[in-house]
Amino acid sequence: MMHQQTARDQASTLNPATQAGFNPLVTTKADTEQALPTDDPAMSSATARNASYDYARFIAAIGIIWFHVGAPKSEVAYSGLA
Amino acid sequence: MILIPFLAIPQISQFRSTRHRAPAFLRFASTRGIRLIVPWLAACVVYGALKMVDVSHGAAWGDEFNTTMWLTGIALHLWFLPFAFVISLALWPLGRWIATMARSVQLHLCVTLMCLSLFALAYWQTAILPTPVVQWAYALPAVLLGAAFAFTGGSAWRMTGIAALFFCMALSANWTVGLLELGIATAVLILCTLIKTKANRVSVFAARASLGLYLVHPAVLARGHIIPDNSVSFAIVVILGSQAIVALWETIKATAPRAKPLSPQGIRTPAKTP
Repeated sequence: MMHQQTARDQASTLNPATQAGFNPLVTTKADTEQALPTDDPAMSSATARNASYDYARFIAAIGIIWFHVGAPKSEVAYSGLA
Repeated sequence: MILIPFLAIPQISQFRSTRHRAPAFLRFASTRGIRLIVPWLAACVVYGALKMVDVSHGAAWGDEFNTTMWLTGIALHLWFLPFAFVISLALWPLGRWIATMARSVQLHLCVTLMCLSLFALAYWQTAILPTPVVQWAYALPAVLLGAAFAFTGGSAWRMTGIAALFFCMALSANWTVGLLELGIATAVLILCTLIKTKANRVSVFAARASLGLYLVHPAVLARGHIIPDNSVSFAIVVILGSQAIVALWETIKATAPRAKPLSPQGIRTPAKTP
């Protein structure tokens, strides 16, 4: 009985498909439920992510470097930090 | 910076408390600490060693080390990581509250946070602050605006409405210092919310590499002065050099032998000898 309770608690904590509410990192609930199995753990945990934020973060990091170098249009590139 | 509260508040709201695990706050703090503070400490060690090399070559101790480094880290650009960690923990009450909050209260709180962001932007216009307070003050409008966006429930239309209100008020008050950066970041955030893409190997690498790029680029920048400063070619060299270091690190991590967990057979008690 105790083991069943623990498993249910962990499932409600770890499985995004069972979580209610808004999560910007998850594309849709259907995406989460239909996530394809894969051998790569990083991929399997990230299949349901909205990857647009990951691309934005990468471009932001490049923008910060551009600003620190002081290259042309660096004030625009500093948007990466904002 | 806008992304920190926008992503953290919904994540906090989904942390479950159970009797059988550590308190949710400690688990959240541990997750953020592993993501932010461990790389910060590692970067402090590396930059500390590089600065010690400079001191041994004749650089003044006072030029390389100062007391504000207790708050920022050994290199100034590292201020971002402890700041993001503290902000993430400070958002905990908001993240817990949003789960039980009525939609109308969410809207009120969203507008309140947007107004606080405007006040922070107004203060930033004329403030003359010491390091690292100036960095924190610069980041505050973005953090508060990101928190306001988190309370829109992820609706791009509501986010656009809040952003339009924010920028109209800032422009009408002529609070334009730092507004362009905030505007571009807001537009990108709304676009990311509208254009949802599925994760693939490239996006996973982008997510992993972004923090590494940020951490290592000053080391490349300081040692890459064979190309004229402030040029596009120098920027490209620093980006590619930083990217190469991050890719090398990821390769080492991927190929390093990992400790295998003990199998049930491995922890079985040995059979008794007759």
